[in-house]
Amino acid sequence: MSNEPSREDALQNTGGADTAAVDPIDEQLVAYLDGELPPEQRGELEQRLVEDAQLRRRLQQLQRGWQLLDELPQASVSDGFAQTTLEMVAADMETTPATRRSRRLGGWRLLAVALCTAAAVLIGAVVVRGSRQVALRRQLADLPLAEHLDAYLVADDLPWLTQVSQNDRWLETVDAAEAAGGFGPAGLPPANSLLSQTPVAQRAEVLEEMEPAQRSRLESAWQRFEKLSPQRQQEVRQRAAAVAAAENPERLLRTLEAYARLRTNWAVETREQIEQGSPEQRAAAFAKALEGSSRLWLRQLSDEDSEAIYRVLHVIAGDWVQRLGNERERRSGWWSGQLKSLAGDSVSGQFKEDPEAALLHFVFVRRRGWSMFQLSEDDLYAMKSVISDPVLEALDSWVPSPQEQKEVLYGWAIEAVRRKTQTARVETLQALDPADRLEVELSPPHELFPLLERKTREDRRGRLGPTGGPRPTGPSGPPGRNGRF
Amino acid sequence: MRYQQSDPDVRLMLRVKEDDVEAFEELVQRYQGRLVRLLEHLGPRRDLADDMTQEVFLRVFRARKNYQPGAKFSTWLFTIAGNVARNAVRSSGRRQEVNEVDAGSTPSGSQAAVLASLATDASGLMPTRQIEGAERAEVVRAAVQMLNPRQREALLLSKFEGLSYLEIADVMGLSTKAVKSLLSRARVNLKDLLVPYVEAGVLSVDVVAGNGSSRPQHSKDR
Repeated sequence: MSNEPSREDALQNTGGADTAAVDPIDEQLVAYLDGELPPEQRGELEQRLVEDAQLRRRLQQLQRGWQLLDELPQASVSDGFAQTTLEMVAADMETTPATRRSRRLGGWRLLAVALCTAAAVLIGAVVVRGSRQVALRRQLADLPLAEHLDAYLVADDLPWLTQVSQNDRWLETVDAAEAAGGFGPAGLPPANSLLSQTPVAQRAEVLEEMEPAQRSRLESAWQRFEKLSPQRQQEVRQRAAAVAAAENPERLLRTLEAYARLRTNWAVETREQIEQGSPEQRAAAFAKALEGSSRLWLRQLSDEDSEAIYRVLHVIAGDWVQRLGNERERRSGWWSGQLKSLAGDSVSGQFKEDPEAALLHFVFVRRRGWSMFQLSEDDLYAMKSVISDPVLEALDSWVPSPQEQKEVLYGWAIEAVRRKTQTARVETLQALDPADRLEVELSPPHELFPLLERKTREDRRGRLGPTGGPRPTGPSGPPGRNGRF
Repeated sequence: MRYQQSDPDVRLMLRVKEDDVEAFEELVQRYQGRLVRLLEHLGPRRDLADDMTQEVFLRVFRARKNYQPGAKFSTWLFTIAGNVARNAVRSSGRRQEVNEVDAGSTPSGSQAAVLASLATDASGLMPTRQIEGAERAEVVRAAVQMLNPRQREALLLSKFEGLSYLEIADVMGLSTKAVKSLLSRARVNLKDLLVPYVEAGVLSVDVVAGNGSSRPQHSKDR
């Protein structure tokens, strides 16, 4: 219909060719909806619309598609976006060819100086100063370190991480997480970048040709590297050399990169066990993390998501508490026994004012799967609606089967409740008899929590006298209240 | 010039031309969100929108000395954005050729999959349910992605930015007549892609009341 200027975009022809004919009446209807129809045609069309129901429907349908575009979300721009943009522009000025640079820059020069990162200064130095050649060479030699800075910084125990990098399960998990966007849109940085493979003498040129955004990322990493103490910098160099000398440097570096990212999603507890625990503790914690599922990182709820899920569950538990009250009125015997155990076992200190938390703890931690309280489809959907977008996207793309999704969500519920309601372990420990406490404290890590729970129960039973007896360090509660957990 | 007086962004850009840092920052602040939103749909991948937006600002800045306030500032900016998006699509297309052997799926394939999965819902294989929130957005996004790039650009400039046919023609270097038919094709295609879901009750539109008894009759124009 139209003869549009030829432009270089016939590359991606998906929704029908530009030149395909469109029904003239549709063109009129669209122009009408857009308020672009000349007045005389508008009157004519409106008359037709009054008379022709078919045409009205057509108009409505066009309008509906248009209205649905309102569903597209507003873009979210990070707080630092404008700042990074300015920095990038400033860096660009420093690196543009002499013709452009020779212009009088006025205030921009000041901005550039103020904002320029160390790397940009370094690049400027390439052009200007011969006397700095040595320092510059050194910096350019170090620059690839910045590309994998986080990876090198977490490599406290390289032999162990080398072992990890040979674990098939781990590799599968990393591949899968990357495929699902778990490491951000760009995925893990490649081990062999152009920069690292370019001889030091030519790296300045590579920098100049780098994508501005990529360069700005590199610059900020470089800045972080510069801020490290000389010892720490040396350590990073050594680690990089050790990685490069490894049997399979690419795989190892990939593992380090993935590990650096994944660990930020782990519960503090897991992280500590893996990074500060004894070799056994570490192996156990890491194996446990991998064991449950190859979808490691999906299972490892971030604290924010865990908190959000818990809040949803808390609301759901509000209904359950009410149901429980109703049941109590209807039944007696077994039920009152259950309720007593619920109250005696779980409701103490933190739970006293929070029956929902007590019930959640009971349903998801103590008596997992108790059939009276199951999460409904709606409940699971509510949980899904509060988790963060990347996790949700990964869940949907990765675990498309509704049944499997349910299992993952159920696992999250357990995890969220566990994290939220088992914070009182230290207090529990404090409340034990000194001898029991010592036994618990000396037990191997994987036995610690089960033992603690057992001892608490025994302790409670042992003291289940009419007065309860004084507690050495326990929270001050009414005498006779024995629930400690 | 008319624009110089009426368009505050033109005044800002004229200050940028005189190397005014604050003016540039203000322009970035004013347009960053709008550009990211637009480029999320026009670029090869949604996650590249931030990078592409920065590229647009970089080009604006580089071109500042040659800026002539002959047009509305946003028209000029969106023209640059369109070019940046096309470049990005082209270079990602080149990479795609290299990766396709082992990757197996293409972006448009996954868009189709989103719609196809809903079609399954709508056909009754799964309980028909009304979808909401992020999922709705995903379906609409998938439909928009299936439009031809020029239709998409014209449509989004019209929808998001409220540009007139004349302004879109400026941005895209087309005649207004061409814009008119481009937009009508875009909207007919969008209708064909989305209205079935509305009529199956999967998507709802609050404002328009319609009985939605049959499928749309207009066939796709390809």
